[in-house]
Amino acid sequence: MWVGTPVIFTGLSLGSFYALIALGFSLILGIARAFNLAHGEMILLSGYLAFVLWHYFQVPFVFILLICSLVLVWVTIPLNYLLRRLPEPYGLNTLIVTLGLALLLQNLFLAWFSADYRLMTPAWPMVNVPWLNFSFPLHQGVLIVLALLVTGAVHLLLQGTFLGKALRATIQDREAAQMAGINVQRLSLAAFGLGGLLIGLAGPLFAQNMYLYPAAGVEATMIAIVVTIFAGLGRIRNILLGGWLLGLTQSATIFALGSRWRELVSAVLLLLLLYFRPQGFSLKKEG
Amino acid sequence: MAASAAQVCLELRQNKKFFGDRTILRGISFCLEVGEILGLIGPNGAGKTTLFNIISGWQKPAAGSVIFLGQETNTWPPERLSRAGLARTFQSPQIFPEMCALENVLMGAWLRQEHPPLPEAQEEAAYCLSLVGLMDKGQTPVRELPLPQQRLVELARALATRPRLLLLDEIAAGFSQAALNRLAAGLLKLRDQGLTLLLTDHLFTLLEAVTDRVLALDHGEIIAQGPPADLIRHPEVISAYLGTRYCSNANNGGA
Repeated sequence: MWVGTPVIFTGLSLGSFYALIALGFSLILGIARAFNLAHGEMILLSGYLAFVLWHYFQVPFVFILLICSLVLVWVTIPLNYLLRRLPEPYGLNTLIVTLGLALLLQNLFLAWFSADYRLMTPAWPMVNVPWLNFSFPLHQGVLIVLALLVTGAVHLLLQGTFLGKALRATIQDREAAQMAGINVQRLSLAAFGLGGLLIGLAGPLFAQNMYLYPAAGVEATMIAIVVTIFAGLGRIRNILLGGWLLGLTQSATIFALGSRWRELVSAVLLLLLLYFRPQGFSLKKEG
Repeated sequence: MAASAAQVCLELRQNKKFFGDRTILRGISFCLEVGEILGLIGPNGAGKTTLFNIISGWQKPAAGSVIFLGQETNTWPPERLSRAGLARTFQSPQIFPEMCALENVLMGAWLRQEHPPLPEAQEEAAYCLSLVGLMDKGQTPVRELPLPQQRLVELARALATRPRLLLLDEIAAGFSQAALNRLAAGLLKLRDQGLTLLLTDHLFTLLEAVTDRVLALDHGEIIAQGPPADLIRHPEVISAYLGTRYCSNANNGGA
């Protein structure tokens, strides 16, 4: 087996997971202009719920995904109504309120689940690829397929439907969208609803790919920010590319330098992006 | 023009606006009749854009009321006003930068209240784009168009929402004389089709060419109003806005 195969496969799988983490964040930021710093903690909430369902009730994984998605919608939609009442400057105020929410959730996790590390470890079979002389756990493959399906579905929604056109228009220019008669408040609600579904979906995946502990959400938020900046707002395909870039870079770093350098990779990538391409990779520089 | 209630398109009653302890508008009242083209002039900071924002729902008046087609619209958000038939353009065009010109206009034609079928909306978008003379730029991403053409795309999108009242905020900035003439002819044609227009511009030549009446605003107050030809000679307007050089040029037969 070529030594790069597992590095690339793990990187793609990790990157797919990152794209799923970033998708909800990007939609809520792009459409509702809410900078949700509690994004990671909401994924953790979904992750802890998944852990409880798996550990105490032995619920099958597919149902866990479904339940978590539906429950998280009922967390993000009230958040939409809470944030809607904020005065201008709206973006900055959402940042402050969601930072408070993140701290609140972290402390609730600490009270409910203690600071212990938890991991969902369902028994996934190994898949063998004879012609590459390579085998991998099925859940890594599931991540890649799931990311392709979900980003594909969101991409089609934005490109092909009436709602999608309105959402895309709102991402590009909220004022212009209002002048075209688009009810941006209703679209914000749709964004938080869809964002909730995606956050709910990311939770159980987080619980089986990264350790659950009260402060783990910070890294998820960081990943969401890096991937969103890389992609540019509303660029769904680029979110997948951004996730893969981050995943592959981390995977290669772990292979070359060791796993303690992993978290530094996203921070360094964020700094490099902000310095060289603050407008995202897909957009041309203004002017 | 004898005004009856049915003919009034827009009415402002004692509109006031403050920012902190600064008074931006001091009780503005006027009436705009259906099919009328009203101009608004004033030096920078006179309150023109604030007034536009209040009429189009982007800001709420501190006091007074805005009545559009017989309904008080003070608290309506911009999208509700847009669906009710009030369209506007902005000093710096509010467009969808990643979309091509035709798609931008399609947003207005397709997303409006009655939500027509897509092919019908596409046809209408193409028609509106041809009205502003940009049919050959239909597939160009609007961020690549020069600013005056971006303004025209915004105008086409506003027209695609099928407005009853159209507010144009300095639409002609950066236009050549030929483009200005085309714009003026187009606006007059739109008026003949029943559109009511309220426009502000630093170029008095456009206002002279199209408006029936002009309001001169200074320090948040209407200091004079009347046909554009009369307003040029109004002493308060000259000192507040036009300047003596414009006036002597106008008297000599040129602007």
